[in-house]
Parts: sequence; C-alpha cells; structure tokens
Amino acid sequence: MKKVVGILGKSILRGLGIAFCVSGLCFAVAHLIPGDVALEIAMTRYGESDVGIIDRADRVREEEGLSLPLAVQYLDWIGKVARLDFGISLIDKTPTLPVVLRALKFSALLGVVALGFSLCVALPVGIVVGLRPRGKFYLVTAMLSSLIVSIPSFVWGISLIVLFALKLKWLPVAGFLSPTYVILPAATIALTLSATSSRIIAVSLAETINSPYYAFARHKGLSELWTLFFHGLRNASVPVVTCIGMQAASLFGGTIAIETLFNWPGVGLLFLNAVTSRDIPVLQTAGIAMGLICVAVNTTVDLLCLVLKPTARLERLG
Amino acid sequence: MKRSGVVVFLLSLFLCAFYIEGASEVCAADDRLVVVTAWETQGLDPLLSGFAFLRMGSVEPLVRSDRKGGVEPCLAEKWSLSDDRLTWKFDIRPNVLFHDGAPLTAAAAAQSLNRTLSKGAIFKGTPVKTIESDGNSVVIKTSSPFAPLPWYLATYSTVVLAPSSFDKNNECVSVVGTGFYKLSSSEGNTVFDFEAFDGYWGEKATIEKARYLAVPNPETRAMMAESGEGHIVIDLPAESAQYLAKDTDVIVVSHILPRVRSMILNAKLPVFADAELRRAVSLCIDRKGIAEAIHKDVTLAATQLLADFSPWHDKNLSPLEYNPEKAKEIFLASGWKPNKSGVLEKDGKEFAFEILTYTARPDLPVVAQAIQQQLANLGIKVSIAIDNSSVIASRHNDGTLESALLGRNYSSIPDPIGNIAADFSEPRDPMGAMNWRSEKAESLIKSYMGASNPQDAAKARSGIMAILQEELPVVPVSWYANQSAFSKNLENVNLDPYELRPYPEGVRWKK
Amino acid sequence: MRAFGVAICACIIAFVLIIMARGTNPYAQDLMNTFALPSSEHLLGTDYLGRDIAARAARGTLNSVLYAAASVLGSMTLGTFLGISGAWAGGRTESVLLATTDFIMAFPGLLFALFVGGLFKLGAWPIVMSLILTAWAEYCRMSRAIARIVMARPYVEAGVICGYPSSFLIRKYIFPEIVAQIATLASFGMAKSILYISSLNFVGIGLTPPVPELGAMISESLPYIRRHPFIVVPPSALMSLFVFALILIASKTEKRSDKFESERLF
Repeated sequence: MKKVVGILGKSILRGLGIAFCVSGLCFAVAHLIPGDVALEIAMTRYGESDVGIIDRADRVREEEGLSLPLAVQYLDWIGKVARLDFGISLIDKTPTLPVVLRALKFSALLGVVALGFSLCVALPVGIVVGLRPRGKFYLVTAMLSSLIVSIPSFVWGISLIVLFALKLKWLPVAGFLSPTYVILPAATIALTLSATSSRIIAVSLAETINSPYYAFARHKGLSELWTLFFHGLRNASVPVVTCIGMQAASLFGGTIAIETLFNWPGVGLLFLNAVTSRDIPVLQTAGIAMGLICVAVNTTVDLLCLVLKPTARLERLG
Repeated sequence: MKRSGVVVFLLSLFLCAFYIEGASEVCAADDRLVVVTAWETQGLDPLLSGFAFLRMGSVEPLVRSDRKGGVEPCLAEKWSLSDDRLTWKFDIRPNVLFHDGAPLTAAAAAQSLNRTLSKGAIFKGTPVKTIESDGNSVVIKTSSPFAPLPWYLATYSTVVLAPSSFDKNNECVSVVGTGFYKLSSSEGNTVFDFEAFDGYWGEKATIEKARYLAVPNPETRAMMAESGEGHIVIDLPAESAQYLAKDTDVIVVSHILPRVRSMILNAKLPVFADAELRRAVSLCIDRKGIAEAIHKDVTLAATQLLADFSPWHDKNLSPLEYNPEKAKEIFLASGWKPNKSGVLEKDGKEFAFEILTYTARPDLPVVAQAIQQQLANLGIKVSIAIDNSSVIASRHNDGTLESALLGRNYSSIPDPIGNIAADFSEPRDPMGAMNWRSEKAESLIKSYMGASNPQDAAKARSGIMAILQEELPVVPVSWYANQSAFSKNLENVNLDPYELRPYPEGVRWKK
Repeated sequence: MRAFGVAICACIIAFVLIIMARGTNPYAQDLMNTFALPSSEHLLGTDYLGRDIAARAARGTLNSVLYAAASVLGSMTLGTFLGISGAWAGGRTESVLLATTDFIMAFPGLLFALFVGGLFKLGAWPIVMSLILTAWAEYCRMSRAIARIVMARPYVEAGVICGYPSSFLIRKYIFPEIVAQIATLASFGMAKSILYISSLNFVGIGLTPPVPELGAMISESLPYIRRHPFIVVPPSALMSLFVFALILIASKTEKRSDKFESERLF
C-alpha cells in the first residue's frame, strides 16, 4: 500500500511540475520569438488580404494585454488557471478548455482503437514467436517488424488510403464523421505499434521461458501448463506493459503526420495549428493537458507493473 | 488475458461515448450535398468567417457579385445616387424573411452594416461616413464621391444578419441570415450542416441538406473528390486536378481567378532601389516554364498584374518577358559583375536576398524554388524562408522583409480597386508594395474612386496599370486558376471565379 | 542480422559516393523536362522541377544522416556525461538528475520538436536542438544505471582508495561497459531522428528549400504519386533501408540478456 501511495504521490508532483514547465515554456517561447505577436494574431483572425490590418493589430494588442510585461502576463495566466479559467483562444475567441478537451477525446479514440488493433496482431504473433525463439519465423518477424517501422507512418497512411479507400472503396478517405472514419488512421498507427509490441512480447516471453525460475517451477511439478503460463506471463508482461504505456503516451502527440493526412482533429493537429498561428492560450492549455496525460499514463504503467510483479518496479526505475 | 479485456472494455466505452455524442450532433446522411474547401472558420462572426456562410448560401449581402466582376441586386432591389454623389440609397427587397422568421427591414440591414463599419476593416480607408435606415431604404453617406461603394457591399463581411444573431455586446452568437440554406449545426470550426430554408425569397434549394467541410490538406481534398465523399471540392492542386480530370469520372473545372502569385520587393534595398533593377530581376524569371511545369497550364504565365478576363487587364501594355541576356546587360551596366564564385557583386556586396513564403498555398514554395534557381543561373543568390503568411506582414512593418512570394487576392471585393488601393496607395496594407510610393498612382487611384462615368474610370485604370507595369513594385509571376471538382451526379454547378456566390447555388442531383 | 545491417549501410554509402562522384548538380532545374524517365543523363529520372533525382537523393541522404548524427552525438555526449557524473557524485546531485530525466522522459519528444521547430522556423537545426534536449535523458539513465553497478564492484573501490583520479577510473572501468549500450541506443536514436525530422517536414516544419532532405523529398513527391509513382521511391527506399540497417545493427539476438536495453522505438 505504501508503495502505491508513493507512486501516486510522486506522480501528482511530477504532473504538476510538467504542467507548469510546459505552459511556462509555451508562454516564454511564443512571446520571445521575433515577430509581432499582435499582428500575427490579427492576420490569422482577419485574413491576410484584409484592408487595415495595422489598426486591427493595435486593437488586438490592447484587448489581449500583449503590451504588458511578460512576467505580469504569465502570473495573470497562473492566477486564472488556479481558478480553472484556461483562457480564450486568441484566434477564434472561444474558451480553450473545450477545444483542448475535444481534441483529447478524438486522440483518445484514435489511440484506443489503434492500440486495440495493434494488440490484436502483436499478442498472437509475439506469443507464437516467443515460444520458439530460434526458428526461422523469429528471424522473419524481426526483419519484417524492423522494415515496417523504417517506413515513415505517412507513407503507410497514403498507401492504405490508396488501397482501401480509392482502389477498393471499402473505407472513407478522411474526416471523423462516423466510427468507420477511425479505421484507416488507427490501422496506420497500429502497423508501427504492433511491429514494436510483437518484438517486445516475443523477446520478453522468450527470456522468461528460458529463465531459471521458470524451469524450476516446471521441475517442481507445477504440472498444469496454464498455471505456468500464468506465472510466465506475469513476469514477461512487465516490459510489455512498459512498452505499451510508452506507446500510449506517444499517441497523444506523436501522431501529427497521421492526423494531418486523415484530417483527424486530435491533439497533434491542435498543437500544430496553435504553434503555427501562435495561439498562446491554446498552446499553454494543451501543454498542461499533454503533460498531465503523459504522467497519468506513466503512473498507470507503474501501478500495473507493481500489481504484476512487485520486484520489477526496482528494475524499471533503474 | 486481463490486459486485452481491459482494452476491449475501454474501446467499447469510448465507441459508445463517441457514438452518442457524435450521433446527436453530426450524422452522415447519404444524400447530403458535401462541399469541401480548404478553409476553417474562426467562430461564427461573419467579419471573420462570413466567407464560409456566404459561399454556402446561408447569408446574403445587399448586392452580390454578378460573376463577371460587377454587382447585381440581392437584398437591395435597386439603388440610387444623389446628385452631389455623396448619398447612396439602397431600396430593400420586400417580403424577405430571416431564418428565424423575422422580416428583413432596412433597420436590420443598417444594424448589420453598422457593425461592419465599426468592428470590421472593409471600410477602412474608404470615405464611407454613416449608414442609416430610412423607411424601406438603407442610406449610406460618404465624405467624398465614392463610385465603387456597391462593390464594397458585395463581400462576406457586409452580409446582412438578423438582429437576433447578436447579443447585447454586439457579439455574434448565431448565424441567422436570409439565404437558401440555414445553418442547422456545427462541429468545431470544420463541419457545418445546413438545411434548405422554405421561406427563401428566391429559388429554393433543391437538395434538402448540405454540409461544409474544411479540409486543409490539399491531397486529402483531392482524394475525397475521387472517392466521392466530397461532391463539390474546391481548390485542388494542379497535379491532382489533372489526375482527376484524366483518370476518373469526376468533373474538373478550372477558373482563372483575380489572384496573382507575385513577389514583393523591398524597394529600400540597394538591389531593388532602382526600377531598372527590378525590371531586370523580372526578366530573369521564366514564367512560361513555371506555368507549364508547376501549374500545368502555360497560359497562366503572367504578362501583367491581372489576367485577361478582368476589365483591368490592358492589352496595350507590353507584356512581361523572359530575357536573361537583356537582364545580364542591365546588371553589367549598373555595375554588378560576377565575382570568383559567379555571384554578382558591386562595391564588395553580393547580389543576395531572401524570399519569404508560406505553405498555406502549397504551390508557393515550389514556385519559390524555381525562381531561386532561375536567379541563381544569373549569379543572384536567393535563400528561401518558409513561415506563416502573417510573418510577411509583421516583417514588412518592422522593415526586415527583403522579398516575399505570396498569392495576392485582388478580389476582396469584386473590383480589384479595393486591393490595389490597399497595396499601392496609403494607408498601405502590409501585404502590399514595400517602401514604394508613387504620387501619380495615388492620384489615379483617387480619381478612379471618384470617377463619375465609365470612361474616366477606364482612363484612370489603364494609367494605374501602366505605372505598375513600368515600376514593378511587385513582380507578377503567374496567375491563379482555381481548380475544382464536382461529382458526375450533380448538374447545374456554376462556380463564381470571384468566390462570392454560393457554391451550391442552383445545384441539383441528376435524375 | 547485424552483418546484414552493416552490409546495407555499406551499399547505401557506396551508392551515395558513386552518385556524388558523377558531379550532377542536385539543384539544377529543367522545367521543360519534368518527370523524365531514367536515362544515361539522369540515372533515376527527374522530379517535378526537372532536377536529377539520383543526385538529390544522394545529397539528401547525406543531409538526413548529418542531421540525425548531430542530434545523436549531441544527446549521447550530454546524456552520458551527465549520467556518469551523476552516478559518480551520488547523493543529492544524483537524485536531482534522476528526477529531471524522469521528467523529461515523460514528455513526448516529437511534440517538443514540433513546438521548437514550428516557432523558430530556421530550418532543421532547431529540430535537431530540441531532439538533443529530449533524447539525452535516455543516455543519462542508462549510463547512470550501468555506472552504478560498476562502481559497486570491488576493484573500483580499490582504485578509489589507492588514489587513482576519477577520470582514469571512469575511463578504464565504466566506459567499456557502457559502450555497447550506447551503440544500441545511438542506432535507435539515429533511426528515430531521421523519422521524426521527416514527419515534421511532412507537416511543413523545418524545411529549407531547396536543400534536399529525404523526409522533405518524400512529402514533396507525395502529391504526384498517382501519375508519377516512381519519384517517391528513391528517397523512401533510401530512408527506409538506412533506418532498417540501423535497427538491424542495433538489434540484439536473445543470446545477450539485456537488463539495460530500453526497447524504445517510438
């Protein structure tokens, strides 16, 4: 129990720390780069061919308090966050929190489906290969998974679109209007995920099976194969869970290319648009959300590892 | 197998949640007309996002584009000008209803327009003074004769919304217009659903439901046209348009637009200070090669600022040409000689500058690379920087911009004068000519604005174009053709080259 | 498998050298000769601006490798140095170091690179810098863990007592144990860097035309794949093969038991 509390406590601290650092970073960098923030915001809001843009820029500067000293602006932001007021997007003047939550929802959906697909493939393949670590099959899957990972995700994405949506016409191309739209982007992501997962499952299982305690357990006479399997799997699953956890964390931002290609309004796209249009409040809110999510995922992984194999915790934290 | 169980459970949970939320807001109906464009909106305010609602036929202005560069009556039946040419009277069409059932009155129209006058930018720099309602008419007073006023009323920021669209702070909370489609729901800034409005004053929409989808990635748009998910898809890259036209049964149409790819040259730089040098740089650009290789249409090579479908195109102007030999002589004569590495040099300084461009229009970086190489062949060192389009404006303002390649729209209003005045006279738009002034051009622009008859206007027009061709404060490279695709199951699709008329106007499914 | 990886690398290097020796200018455009088929003049044909694809691909491989190598060298040096120093110093310093690396590893690297690259728009170098700033944590963790283990061994203690300088002890005892792991991480790191940079180029961040870079070349060619599918093949193949080779080189067979290996591809 103490361990659990310890993990949770550390994570909360870590989460808050990340949240503040990220938002501070977003804030600092967005303000310190060359270029007039007010003018750029005005241009994104009102369009580049709009007449009279300088006046608008001045108006933006006043409205958003952009001429106040940076420290004041940042403290102002912190104060607001403490009251759970996450600010208003500089570009379209709607509150940032719903926008970020919406993006998170879409990323979560994509991530869960992608992980689901990937596990459907990686688990069987990994287990089969892990049970026979010397066979040709192992070599082939190792090479194949390396190859899959070497080809960039967006190239896979375009190939899948061309094959399934255009030539075969089984699935829609892009967007998010009904559950079928999630299949192609999730499948693209699942390709690379399953490549790594299956490798890890295979290696980890092979290691466990070859380890002394497993042999000992069998010699002891624990005859039922499936109980052994249970022991074996528990131990083997620690690196797997770690790996999947890392994959899950990366799904929340690392899928920018896929989201751009499939027009999937997740966190990656949100970040990209906010960065290019210098929408500082959205960046800060998204940064905080990202940080908290990463920490949440890592914590879940830690707790799961604890449940599965208490001594493994020491290994993982090195 | 606990893990997979958890995963499956979470998965189904999420799908349920998504289904419930998604189904209530946005459902994909099969016979819904789907229009796909590149542009996301920024909220509901027509001052920012009116283009989306105007182009879907949800909101309407007093006068609208007649597809040929002029205007025709829309919510205003007719208009007249007082003898002193300072007072305009627009008579409101009777028996027009807003989507909320309220009648269109001159007072409502004036309220909408006044909001644009005070909050919007379209009237900045124009002599528009007051907008009032007087019985059945909207009365607009200007401080000096202003002939192009009707054009200024035909754009997306001067559409007429019902008073119920605004709250007490004059913020726009809903889009209640007069058009043939009324907005029924939206999802973020990228999906807008519309239903046909039964009380429309004109020809009602045949297709009951429509949708506006914003898809910024051009290749994705092209693929949606191919798969049939997008029934009308606007703004396709040249390559995809060719592929769709030749290898699929999607119908592709191409319009030349009053949009130009042009290079702003900072006239304060020593390499651009002299009109002769700017002309020499222009001679180095192989416009036909660029048009052929990149735009797949050699007729898009610019011969002057605006293409020949526009009344502003002057056939008597000698066209911009490609003559690197002549350019070499000019450089030599001005003292620019190739140094040891082949780069032109004068007084120890290299002929080098940076072109700033952006990716929102994906052909621009490609054109920039072509120009870079063509200039390099003559010893000019060009570096390319890619950033946001707004950075061009901010660097123009702080004076650090050396050169920029942009896609400049000359149809914010149906007549190019709006953007020409902004780009070449005062107050200067930061996307216009940099550090260049011509009093002659400014006075010609003023006389165009105040012209009382078409002949005076034509004279002023050709004068302005002659100066721009001679001085080249911006160097036109190629004209824009908007390539759009529509499904073979649609008929009567009539797209406005000025993009100010609704895309689904008059569109029907084929029987 | 490792040998296979090395062989692939050698082929790629040979290809690059041969093409560059031919001396074709990768920047020269020929607007009237776009999408030309392979010929004796243009071994792999020309691209959408009439540039020689082989020359561009060769130069692009060089640039991609350069950027990736820079980010890996930077993070490797920084991380290993901090990791060993932290382990050697022990106590407070070490805990602070651990907390920092924990922190950094929790944050997605691609997003940070997007952020920095998107805001600074100075080409690929901001991306490289940001990758260094996120990737060093891995090396730090790994080298610290190993250093810890080695430091606990008796001969190291003996060395300290005898008064040998710490730099000597580190060099003699700790380094050899770390090298193998660093090599693994470095290979994976290079693969990851190349893929990250190309993903960012795909969404428009970090480009400096006309400098060829494999990821940028792929995304530039994508609009044309329906009618000219061949032009996307050389950069994709080169990049994929190179990354593949790196992964092969880095892979372990299960003979070596790896407590330190962090299977971290993405």
